[in-house]
Amino acid sequence: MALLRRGITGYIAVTSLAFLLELPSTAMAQTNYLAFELVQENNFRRLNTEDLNGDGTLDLIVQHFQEDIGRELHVYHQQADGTFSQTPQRIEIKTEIIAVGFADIRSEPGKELLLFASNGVFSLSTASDGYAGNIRQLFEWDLIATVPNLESVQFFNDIKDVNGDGYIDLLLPGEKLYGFFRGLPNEEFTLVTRLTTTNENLAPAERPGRRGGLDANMRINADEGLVLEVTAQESSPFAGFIEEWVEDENSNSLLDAESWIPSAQLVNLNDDGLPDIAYLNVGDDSLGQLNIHYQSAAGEFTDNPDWQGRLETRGDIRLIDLNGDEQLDLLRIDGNGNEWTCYFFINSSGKFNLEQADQVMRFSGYDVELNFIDINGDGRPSLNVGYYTIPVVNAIRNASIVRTQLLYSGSNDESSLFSRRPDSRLEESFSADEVRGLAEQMSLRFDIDGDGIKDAMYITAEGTLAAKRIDEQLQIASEPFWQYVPDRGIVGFNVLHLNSDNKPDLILRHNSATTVLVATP
Amino acid sequence: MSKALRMALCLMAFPASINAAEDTNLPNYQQQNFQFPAEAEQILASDLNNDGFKDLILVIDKDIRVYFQSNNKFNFDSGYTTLKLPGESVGWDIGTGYDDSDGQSLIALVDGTDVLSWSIENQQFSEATLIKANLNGFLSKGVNRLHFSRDVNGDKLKDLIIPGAGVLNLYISNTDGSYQLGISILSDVSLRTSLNPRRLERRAGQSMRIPLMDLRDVNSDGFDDLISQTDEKLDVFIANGTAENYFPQTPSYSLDIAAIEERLGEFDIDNLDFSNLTGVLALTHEEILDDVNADGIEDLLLREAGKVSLFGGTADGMNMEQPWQVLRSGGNVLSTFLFDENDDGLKDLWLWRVETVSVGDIFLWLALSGNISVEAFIYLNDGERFERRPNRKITVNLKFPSVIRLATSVMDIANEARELENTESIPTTAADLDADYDNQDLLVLLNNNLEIFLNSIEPEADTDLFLGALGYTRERNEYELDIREIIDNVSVSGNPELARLGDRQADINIELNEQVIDGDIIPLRLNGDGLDDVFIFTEHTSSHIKGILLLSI
Repeated sequence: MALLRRGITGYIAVTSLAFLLELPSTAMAQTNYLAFELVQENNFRRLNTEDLNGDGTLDLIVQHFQEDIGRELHVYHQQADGTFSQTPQRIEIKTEIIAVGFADIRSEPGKELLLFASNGVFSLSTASDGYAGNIRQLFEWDLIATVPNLESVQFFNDIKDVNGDGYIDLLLPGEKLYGFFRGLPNEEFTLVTRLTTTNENLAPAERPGRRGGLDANMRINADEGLVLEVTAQESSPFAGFIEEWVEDENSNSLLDAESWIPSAQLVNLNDDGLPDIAYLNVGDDSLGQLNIHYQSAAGEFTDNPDWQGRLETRGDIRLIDLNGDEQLDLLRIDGNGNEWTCYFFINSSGKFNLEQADQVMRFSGYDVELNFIDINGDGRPSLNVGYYTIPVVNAIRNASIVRTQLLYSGSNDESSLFSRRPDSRLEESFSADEVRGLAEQMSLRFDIDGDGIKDAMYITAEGTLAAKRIDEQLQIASEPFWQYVPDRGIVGFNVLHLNSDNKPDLILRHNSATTVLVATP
Repeated sequence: MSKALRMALCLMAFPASINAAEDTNLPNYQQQNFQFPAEAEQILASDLNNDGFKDLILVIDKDIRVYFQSNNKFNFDSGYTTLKLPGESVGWDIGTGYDDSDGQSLIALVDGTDVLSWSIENQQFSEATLIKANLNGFLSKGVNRLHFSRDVNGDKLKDLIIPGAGVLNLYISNTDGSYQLGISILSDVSLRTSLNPRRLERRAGQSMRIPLMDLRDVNSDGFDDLISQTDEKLDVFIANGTAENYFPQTPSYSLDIAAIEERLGEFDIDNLDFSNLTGVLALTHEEILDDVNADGIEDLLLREAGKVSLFGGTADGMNMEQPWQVLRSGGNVLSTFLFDENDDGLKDLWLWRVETVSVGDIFLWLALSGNISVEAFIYLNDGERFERRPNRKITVNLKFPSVIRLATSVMDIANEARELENTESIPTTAADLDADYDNQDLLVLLNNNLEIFLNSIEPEADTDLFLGALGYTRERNEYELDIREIIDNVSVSGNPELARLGDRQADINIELNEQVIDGDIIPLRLNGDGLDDVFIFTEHTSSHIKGILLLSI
């Protein structure tokens, strides 16, 4: 075990121990894992997994800040035996850098760092030390964000080859518009499209941003004593538009500046297999509007949307493949408290009928979460709905929270996407003594035993991580077939492949540490 | 409720007011139509040409456009001048004393390095004057209002506050126009950046807020001192009004807040006591600078969990070696503050505690209503320190509905507010349009008319702020705060002043002769006669912002 203390603001402790998972009597072969533990003060920052040295295994990348050194990326390289380097490779993040991405754009093995500054994008190889002779400017671009956070760095994720020519491309938010940069050989990029995601037909005052809202707060102070205050304010498009200059005004802030534009997403929306661009904004009628720019065969986008549709923007809106045709459909979840309505809109060759949802489903519960998961690998997603309910009747006798998992198979009936009644329902009751089990929703997204069928993973009332099987009828087994007993309480988990052995690996989040479990032969 | 129905109900509520108003003109006011470019982001009213009348300063992209008020009127067609601001990142403001006239000038921090000023001569901007160069500041890109010119040391000369990387650099001006050596003060810059949000409805961009420094005289020497508090440090710079440098280069005294937090420990869910969730209050701390012993010098009250330490302030700093007093309280200490409880002129210590709350309690409160006792223990100040035992205990019983009901009620209010946002609202505002300054006038923008209800808003009675919501008196120790009642009484009706008018008819009804679309009314004072002038916005499109100005004459 090695313990490395790294400065005042936080430290990383690295341990490398072999753990054996508890296995009840199941048919599953026993799997051993190598455990690697990262201890850090701020454990809620993103843990990146990328192959930076080109050895075919994913390395761990975390950001680190120390007052006298500044920002760094710490890279823990995965070794051939599934362990990680005990001391990280340290990469300085210069003060001008706002965000970091990962992409393979040089001929050397492994991914390089893409560094996003306010005025351009640069590449840096981690194979060489330092910036001198290493950093290269890829292109100039005035990014929408102009000020770096000197204690942390943003990560720019999902960098990919958008037009299928083998080179990564970039869609970047600029000062007032997005720029699409096509990647070329030799780290060259060319700006092929500029598109504005803000509706320029609207006056600035009509665009979203100046909104009222509900605010509640409780405070204790010497001026008012103890105060509980609930305020609801109506907005005006001209609120704060005019003000009088007052000498030595008692302003709370030296500077209050912001710049925001609707975000554009690169997603597959038609049948050409090429990602298209979608974004939401406000239409000329002041209602929500979905905009789509299709990617042409030449890998370009038009300046103006190819398709637009009016959309109620209340609630959560997601583009997600609901029917397994690999063209993303649209889901809107609207509701509050414990009443939720879900509207499903099917993509038809890159267009939507947003006036009429293809299916509407309603759920009663708190923290309703919808996932669309191909449980058995047949290409057809099932609908998984998880939520909590609070049974009032039993409250006095035994106050508890009930967690419900519903599974709906894809419907064979053309009039609906998912079966009208759940194929399976699992209800679990948690009392106050079992509160640890509520740390995270049950997840059906992972296949922990690698048999090609998703499993139901959850944190038990005792704080361990367990998995139950899901059968062909989408029934979740009553007993777990897999369990891991951690040293620390688990607050989140992920299953992924960190190497090419095809065995699922795990990342477990604790309060102030992360455990990486790499399956061994 | 549909938009049309809601609008109809609005009209039904005020049927008589439109036709039955007696006057159609507002005495002593003239009307002027205005039209601004749609790109106008902000308007600041300021007397930039120093003629006693406020001009209108508009920010339009990187341009500053000034509409001059001459002979008590504006020429919105051509009576303006424009300045194109240099640089990529510009923070601008209005300042005084930057030219020979001692009048107002436009000043700007350009690209974080140079401070420039422009004055107005013959309704034109002068050439830029360099005020200070080679500064080490930074700003977000674009043109933003920056409140960076202030008189910090009370000598009537404007000093400069330049935002730097995690610090504010302060430059005190000398009488000869030069500046003293700058000092750096830590600053908690609030920065939010999102470059590629994964959710369609989220926006990409950045917001930045830099708080202003706290200036007050902590040692009663007549000179404002500088207090800087961040997450990691409390620094106090004691001013010396007669020294070459007004503030010392390093803090006169500091408190290491990061060290306090390290001592108290971090939240750790693995060690969380589920039977006493309020036990996490043992991780909290407070730092209060206030005068405890009435010598005019602020002392330091430091609370670390249940331990309260009092340090004595001196004329040139703080005696941090040895606290005057240390008090310890059991239980879950929520907060402390200083307030004179017994009217003897000395501030007493109020220490607030909350009862133990377990996970079991919270589970129960999910479905059932409940209550929590919050107690204030008052330690009287004897002039030098606090008494060792509390003299009085106040209990506030906080009653609340079940979490389910609370969540539903809050959602209902939020929905109501959202619904209101989507309907045609009736813009109203209060203003002073006549000589009766005691009672304000209510202005209502309805049916393409401006209705004025003269002196219809009576001044609100002064209320005792301290524990006002509880009906606090020195004679009573038990109080109750019912959250259900508070939630039930939240009103999102939008126009309480309008509702209070009942059937009253407008005193003046001005027909605007314009179709008002999503309009608004904003009063402000433009010509120094004590009366409000009124901007009535009637239309805003992708090309322009239109309206009518009621300017007092």
